Amino acid sequence: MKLDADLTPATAAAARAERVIALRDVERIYRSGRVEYRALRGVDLDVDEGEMLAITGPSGSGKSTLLNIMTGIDRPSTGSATVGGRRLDEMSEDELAAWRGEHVGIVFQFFQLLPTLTALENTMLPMDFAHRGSVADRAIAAHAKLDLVGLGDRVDHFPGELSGGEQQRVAIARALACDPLLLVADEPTGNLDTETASAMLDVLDAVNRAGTTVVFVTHDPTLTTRAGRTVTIRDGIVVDDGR
Amino acid sequence: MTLVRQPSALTRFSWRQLTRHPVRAALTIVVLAFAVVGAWLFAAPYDFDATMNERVEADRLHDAILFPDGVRLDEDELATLRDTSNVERLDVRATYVTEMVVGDRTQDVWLVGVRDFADQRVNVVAVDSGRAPAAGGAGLEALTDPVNARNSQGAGAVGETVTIRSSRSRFEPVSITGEGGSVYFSENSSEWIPVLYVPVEVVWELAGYPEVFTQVEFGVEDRGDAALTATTDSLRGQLAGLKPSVQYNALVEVRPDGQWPGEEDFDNFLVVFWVLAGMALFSAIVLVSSTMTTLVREQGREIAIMKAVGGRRRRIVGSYLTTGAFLGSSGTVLGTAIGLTAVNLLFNYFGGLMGVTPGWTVSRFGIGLALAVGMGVTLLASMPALLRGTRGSVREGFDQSGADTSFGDSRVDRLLARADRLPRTTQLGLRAAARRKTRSVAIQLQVALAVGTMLGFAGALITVVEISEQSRSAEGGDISLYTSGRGKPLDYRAAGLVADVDGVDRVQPIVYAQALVGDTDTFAWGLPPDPVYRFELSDGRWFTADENGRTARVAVIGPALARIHGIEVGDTVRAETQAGPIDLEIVGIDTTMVGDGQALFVPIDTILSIERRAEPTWYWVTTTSRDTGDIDRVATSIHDELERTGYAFEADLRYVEREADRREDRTIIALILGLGSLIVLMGMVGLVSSMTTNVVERTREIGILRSIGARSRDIRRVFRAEAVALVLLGWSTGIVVGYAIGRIIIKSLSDSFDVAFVLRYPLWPIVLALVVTLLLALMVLHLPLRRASRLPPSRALRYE
Repeated sequence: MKLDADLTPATAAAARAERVIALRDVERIYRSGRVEYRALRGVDLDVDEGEMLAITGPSGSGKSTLLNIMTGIDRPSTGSATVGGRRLDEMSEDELAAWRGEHVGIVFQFFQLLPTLTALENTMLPMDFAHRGSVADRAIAAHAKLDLVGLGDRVDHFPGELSGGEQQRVAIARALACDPLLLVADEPTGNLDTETASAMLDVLDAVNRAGTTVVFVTHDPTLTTRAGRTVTIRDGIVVDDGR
Repeated sequence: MTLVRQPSALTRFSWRQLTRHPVRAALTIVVLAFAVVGAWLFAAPYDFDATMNERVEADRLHDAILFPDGVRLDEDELATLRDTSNVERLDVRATYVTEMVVGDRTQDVWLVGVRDFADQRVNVVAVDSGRAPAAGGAGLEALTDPVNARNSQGAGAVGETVTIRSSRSRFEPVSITGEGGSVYFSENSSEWIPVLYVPVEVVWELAGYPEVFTQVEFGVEDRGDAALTATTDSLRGQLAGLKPSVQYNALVEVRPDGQWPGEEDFDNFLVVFWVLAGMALFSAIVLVSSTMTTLVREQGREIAIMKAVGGRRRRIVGSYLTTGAFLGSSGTVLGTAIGLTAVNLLFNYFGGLMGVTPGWTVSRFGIGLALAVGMGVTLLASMPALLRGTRGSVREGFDQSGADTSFGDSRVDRLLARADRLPRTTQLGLRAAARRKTRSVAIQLQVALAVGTMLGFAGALITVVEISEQSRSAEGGDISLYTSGRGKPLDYRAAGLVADVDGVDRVQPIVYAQALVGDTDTFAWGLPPDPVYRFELSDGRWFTADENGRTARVAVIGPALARIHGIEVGDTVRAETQAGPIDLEIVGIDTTMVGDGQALFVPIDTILSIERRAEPTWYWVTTTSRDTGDIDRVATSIHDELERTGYAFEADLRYVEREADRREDRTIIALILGLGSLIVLMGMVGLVSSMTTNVVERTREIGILRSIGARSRDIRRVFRAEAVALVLLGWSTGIVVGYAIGRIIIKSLSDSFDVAFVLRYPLWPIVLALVVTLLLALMVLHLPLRRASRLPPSRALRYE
């Protein structure tokens, strides 16, 4: 048995780590009329707590589908998806929605902010759905998240009044609203210029360093270097696990 | 190789716009169809007018009728009258109102005598089925009017025998030999009592007339007012020359130039059609415009793609217009099928009221109007959205992501942003409504139209029903007794005998005298100072016993007469009567609508002195019991008593007349309610369409909400808040719209009755409208929302 004193910080983290995501033999088949399309073909993937994982691969390889399976946005056709100890494939849509609100933060490629809510309100929204604390508590927490992403001075702006980079940062603040176990981002820099994209990765880094597991999808090889581990997927099959 | 002609890709694109959102397309088609139905309703009166004018020609309708008090005329004398200058056609007839036995009860019947069925010159009674009744056979025969059966007024079917009371109080059997009629009598009958056409000899036989005629009906060559008046005077002169003692029962009846019987009533009713047609059209414009705006806005990216591959703006607009044309033509076909059926049913209903069967007609005007509305409205309402939506550059189009629009610019947005105490789901719903302002205004307008129509029609109906009921209850009297036929006329002695009949509470004399005030043809009612009639004065007083005793020239007038001529208490009014002109001082103004609100109420002794009559010949009898069976028994006892003492009279049961009035009211109410429901339904179809589109269009947003933790009930709350807000806004606008519609209808009724009706606008229909609209909106939302909120977020997010 090793003593704690013998461990490097990395090995200590690995030893303490719990498995956040466990995908087993996941297949996802889409049917459109008579056409059948297999987006994922027997994927096995484990992600541990505190990891920063990049999923990469060419267009149509199944990256986003994999991400959707991890977040319960989509369900596997066969196989199992366990996230934070919960079998997502066995939960109802409403259970999934409530679970997601509590444990998962999602950052979409096109930001997907609600245009009728201010930056602060967009950030508070997951807390509203999860009934977290009082409204005042939620506002304080949302303010903190917006400060974290550097938007403390734009809280009352509507999405239409913010730049693309600022909108993406609001999306990250919203994703962090309920202090999720897992933060996933689908092409988080896809619509941003190089400088803003780099700043965005800095934010994700910081979030990860604070202990949140981060999984992001990208097809930009330069961004994968920012992740601790890169999983490559092609034609619905994991071709490189990065371990 | 065979070349198969195929539609272009652009045409296919246009067509697939419909199949892509089939529910939205179907709802738009339904609303367009309603607008087309409105167009058919709009066209209907013109065709009906043409049909009725044909009938007027066929029946050789009179231009005027004289009502002599029974004149004997032989063929030579008739020829003399026909030779009068400007007389184009002339005929004489006798009519008689008596009673007939139907089942176990007696009811009134109007016998219209025809001099010769084979040679009729005016108001020709045509035989539609069976054969014309003959005179001088073994038994009496009659022709029944089709209106009788239609009005549920049992008057015997062809082949049956009915029994009719003669002036000698004997019930004579009369065989019904056929069905037919003349539009003038049919129309009169539909508002009154059943009519039977008989050889004039049958009238003479049953009425006990000594072979006299009571009507001189004629048509003229020159229909100018002056020429007609001159001809009427000439005829009266000729008649006076032939029969120096001739008296008249009534003033001359003149048919307004070019008008068919009942046309005025029909025209009054048309206002309902105009309101409906206008609303249908408006609703369709709003919906088509909103549908096309949505379609174009959500396809900004596709429009950009078309531009990128070489599509010019004109072609792109054209492709969407083709989509509009598909919608328009489908709506036109559906609307024409419904409209044509509705119009023909209405034609036949109204025609039936006048004894006319127009049959099934397809009018060219209707087709033209339906096409103009169905296609024209669609294309015109689409244009603004298309021009706006195709204006931008390719880059702008590619940048556009769906139907998103900005929020936060307007004052309303800012106001809503400040309402942060509301639950977040409610805030989201309200802000969504504010974000799509055009759509929200369109929904609000549709709700407002539907609610407004509901309230406007309800208010107008409540007003009409209350006024009718008030008038009916004001008149009083359970049995109406009047002198009829040849024999001893009713007098005060008869009234005394009636008063002694068991079950009689009171006998009130009444004298009716025709009077012309200005150009208003009306009746002066001679009543005692303490009448059974329950007046409700808005100004002045009722006349006194003293005024009656000294035959003072005073009168109380109805509200319509006061309004038409601007008469006030204290004014002196000149009335033309059979006995010549009289001046009456107005002492009071009544509020009831008895006699269409145009009656003159004069002390009974004053009328008797003016008409140089000794005693009244008409009485209202009030019975001690309200039970109809008891009233029937009292009527029979009165009959027996008066017949025993040799009086020539008729007795009408007032409750039967009142019930007939109520039946007529109910028919009109049912018709108006039916048509009103149509527009409400149309408004609601618009609402369904807009709400469904709204949910479908925001499926992606639902996906986002689901992704960040919203449960189904959260989603439902968002949309419910939006729907409730829009319904509340629409409903409150609808209250104002309804009041305006009610005022328009009541104004039209007021104009047609020449009276100032005041619209009743009670609270309960307003509350009911709110409940109904809210429930309906929530029901409407239920299905699309259920579908959208159950959609897995992965699919919702991919939704375009």
